[in-house]
Amino acid sequence: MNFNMNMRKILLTSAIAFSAASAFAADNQAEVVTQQKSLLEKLDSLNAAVLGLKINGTAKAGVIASFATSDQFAKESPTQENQAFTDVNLRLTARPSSETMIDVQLRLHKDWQSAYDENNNPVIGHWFSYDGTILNKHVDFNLGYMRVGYTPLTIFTPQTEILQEPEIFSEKRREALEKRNLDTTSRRLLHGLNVVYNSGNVAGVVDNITAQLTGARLRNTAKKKDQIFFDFDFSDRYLLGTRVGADAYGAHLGVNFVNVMDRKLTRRSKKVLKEDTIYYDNNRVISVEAAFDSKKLFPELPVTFGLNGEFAMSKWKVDRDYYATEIKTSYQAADDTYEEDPTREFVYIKVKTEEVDSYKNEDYLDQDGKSFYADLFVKGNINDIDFKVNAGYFQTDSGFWSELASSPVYQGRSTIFNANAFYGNSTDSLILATFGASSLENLYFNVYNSTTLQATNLMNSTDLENALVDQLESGASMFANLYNNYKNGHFYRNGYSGVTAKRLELDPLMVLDPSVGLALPLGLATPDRKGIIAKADVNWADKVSFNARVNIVTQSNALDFATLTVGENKFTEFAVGVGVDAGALAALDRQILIQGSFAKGSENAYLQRKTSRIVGGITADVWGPFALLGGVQMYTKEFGTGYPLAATAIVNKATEMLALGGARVKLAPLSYLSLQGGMLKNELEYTVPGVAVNKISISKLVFLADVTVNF
Amino acid sequence: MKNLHQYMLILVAGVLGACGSMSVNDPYAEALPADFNPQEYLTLHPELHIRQIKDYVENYNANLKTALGATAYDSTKKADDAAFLADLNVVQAIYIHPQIGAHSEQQWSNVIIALGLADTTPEYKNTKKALLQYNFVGRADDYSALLTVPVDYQAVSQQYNVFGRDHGWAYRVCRPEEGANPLRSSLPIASMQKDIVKVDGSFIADEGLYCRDAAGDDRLIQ
Repeated sequence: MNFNMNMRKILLTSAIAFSAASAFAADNQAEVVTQQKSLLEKLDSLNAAVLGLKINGTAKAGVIASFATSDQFAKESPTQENQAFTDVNLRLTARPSSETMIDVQLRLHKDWQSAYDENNNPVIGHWFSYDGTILNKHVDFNLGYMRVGYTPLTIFTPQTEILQEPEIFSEKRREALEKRNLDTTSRRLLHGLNVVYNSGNVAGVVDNITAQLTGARLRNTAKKKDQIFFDFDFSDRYLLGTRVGADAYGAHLGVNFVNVMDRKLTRRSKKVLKEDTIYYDNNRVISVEAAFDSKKLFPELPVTFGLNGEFAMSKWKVDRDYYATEIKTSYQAADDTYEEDPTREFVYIKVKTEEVDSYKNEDYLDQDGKSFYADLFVKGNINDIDFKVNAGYFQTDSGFWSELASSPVYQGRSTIFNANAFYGNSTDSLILATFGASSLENLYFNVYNSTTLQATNLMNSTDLENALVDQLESGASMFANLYNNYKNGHFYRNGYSGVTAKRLELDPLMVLDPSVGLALPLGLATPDRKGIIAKADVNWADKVSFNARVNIVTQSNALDFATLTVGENKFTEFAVGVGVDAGALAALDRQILIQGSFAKGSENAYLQRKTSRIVGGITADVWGPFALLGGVQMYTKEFGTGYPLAATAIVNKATEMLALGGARVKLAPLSYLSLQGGMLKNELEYTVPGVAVNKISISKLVFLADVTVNF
Repeated sequence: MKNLHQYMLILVAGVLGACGSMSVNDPYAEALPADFNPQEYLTLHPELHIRQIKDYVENYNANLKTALGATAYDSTKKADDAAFLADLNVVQAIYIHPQIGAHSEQQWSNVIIALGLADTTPEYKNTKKALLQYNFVGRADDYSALLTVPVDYQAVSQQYNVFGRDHGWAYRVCRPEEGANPLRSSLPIASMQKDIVKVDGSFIADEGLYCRDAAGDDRLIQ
């Protein structure tokens, strides 16, 4: 078998060499390139199919230095933060057979600054999966970590879309997501078992019949009272998803069902504290999707057109357990004497009342909702111009809830660089702790470091009793359990998270923050929205590309903060982007890509928010191994009627800017040296009743240098 | 087959059970005379109402003791008791109010005499203890709080069932046509119950039902 494989490899390699040789003779060079690509892909897939153990990965050694300045920093505040690290990601893939693969990914991270604190460094395993394509390629399965996507109303990850995002930015975003095992696709990171069956052609009529079953265990974010540091969780939460579908004549019809539920029994194995209320969430969504693509029926047409649509119904039910104080009345016979004749007794019924804590289980919420969308598209290629235009209408009830389609991975609001800085004014600290730091910092940067664990960064508790028993999850007596004191632990500062939020636990600040999405903060499944979404993407032979987006969306039941009435809120969003590859236009053999985009959004009620984003960037191969990358992004969010953070502070406007530029040198195949410098600016204007407008203004100078080797 | 037989029996029982009425009757309500009204019964026996008020105060204070803890409760109680007894006008109003203490002015003058004795005498101690049964610990306005004490009519009705009826307590006011009915005091059962110890120590239940006439005497309902 192995010999056979090697023979085929040699044959393919020589075929590529031959095709390269014949390329000079070929009329159509592009075709040769395509041929070579497809042959290379075949070689890759052959390589991938080699049995046994394989190690791939990346190694990166770098420094990050950031220098912050702000008038609002306290006098004693540190203003500089450095990271000097070596980060190695190992991907071990083992193939017991050509059909299945075990994938384990490990991260070794060394922070040179804490190198003398503790030189033992733990290896963190962050991906474990067993995947395969079995039964004559009819069944695909994933066991362990997996990424699963169904439809925009069932299982889906709404992503941040920034048109013509320059490579220097998109690469940074991808890296930050990767640190959380996330990616830029709409599939959701889950762990469990996923099985997909594809029939292939049936009876010459039906192109494919597919059936999929997904079971996963989800993070239960319900916290008990004394949550301090450790995320202990005695409750189970499961996802059960299933879908079936069929394709014929370019049409697709499918049914999807998703159920996300908390299990009551496992949670109830631990007592509920008197102060606790435990909510059990059960979210069910069933949807029917239909799609049509004309390509199959009319392959000769220069354009193809089609339709995507989905209709979904959801049920969201919440039960809860808690202790309520009740008055318990009991009766007992007692005797007393008559006042006028103390020798005579009479019997009476003594009423005794006691306040008792009674354990209650009750239905708390029950909501049903519907949602649908229909999206028409036309796409094609005319005279080297690729285009795709979509336009659609969607409508979602306020009672609709589909959790796994509604949790974006961008959470934002954390401070990535100079997290050690502190502020002189407590309101400034409050604003930065709640409203958060710059969204551009959260979108593009992350800090991953290993720091020695000690009592101060492990926990913080005052209660010495009942540590790790069924009453308190953690207590100060756990200090005694700190056997791993002074060992290295891995820490993140990252604005992304793959955890999905129950509707009751949805962070209201995240939903309000227009950095996530003004009109549709939770994607297409955002409750109480209807409107039109239109998109156009045009690409002329990878030389010039153009994109446009328009969303006109209405929310029916929005509270207007100016008039304090509930009414309609209309969102208007548009974005345009242009990219030009000057290198390709001038027929040079290198890429000189210049990109830019502008986006604007506004609402006419609620907080009367306005946003605008300007992006510009360049990605240019200068000479030989040298490439220059640069990007500028300016983002403003205005809150017309103020963004009430707390009773004391109302944010009016945030202005952000990020400029980043640098050089990338290709040291060897798949090895790069990158030097980058940039400036992050964040200005927040807020009002405190009775005081004039306050301003927090922070500038950060950032330097990043690293060597990355892929192997 | 043996099992099948059993299952069939269970099935038959189930069907019969399903056909039967599932309504549950309150045995206490059934045992009461048809025209029994706990409110009326209570007006005839004010001592039951006084007991309920005292028990309510006792429960309140006991719950407070649980909430505060014994030490804090004791110091609160000491201060509050002193404050309660400091204003005898209010204590008098409580003592003689028909809805609270329901005592006469004559009884109140006895209280005043007892309170004038040395505080080591048993009379003084007992009187003080009796008065403090009306004191909500930690509450300033005991008078109005006592007026809002809810009456538990369930307890009143049950008292008639477990004691009042067998002891010949009148449960309602006599109607005009009952004015000439035999007095309970003239019936043999009255003396039998009165001299229960003298006879042989065994209790004989009163089988009759009684009403109370305008003069305050109990008469047999025929």
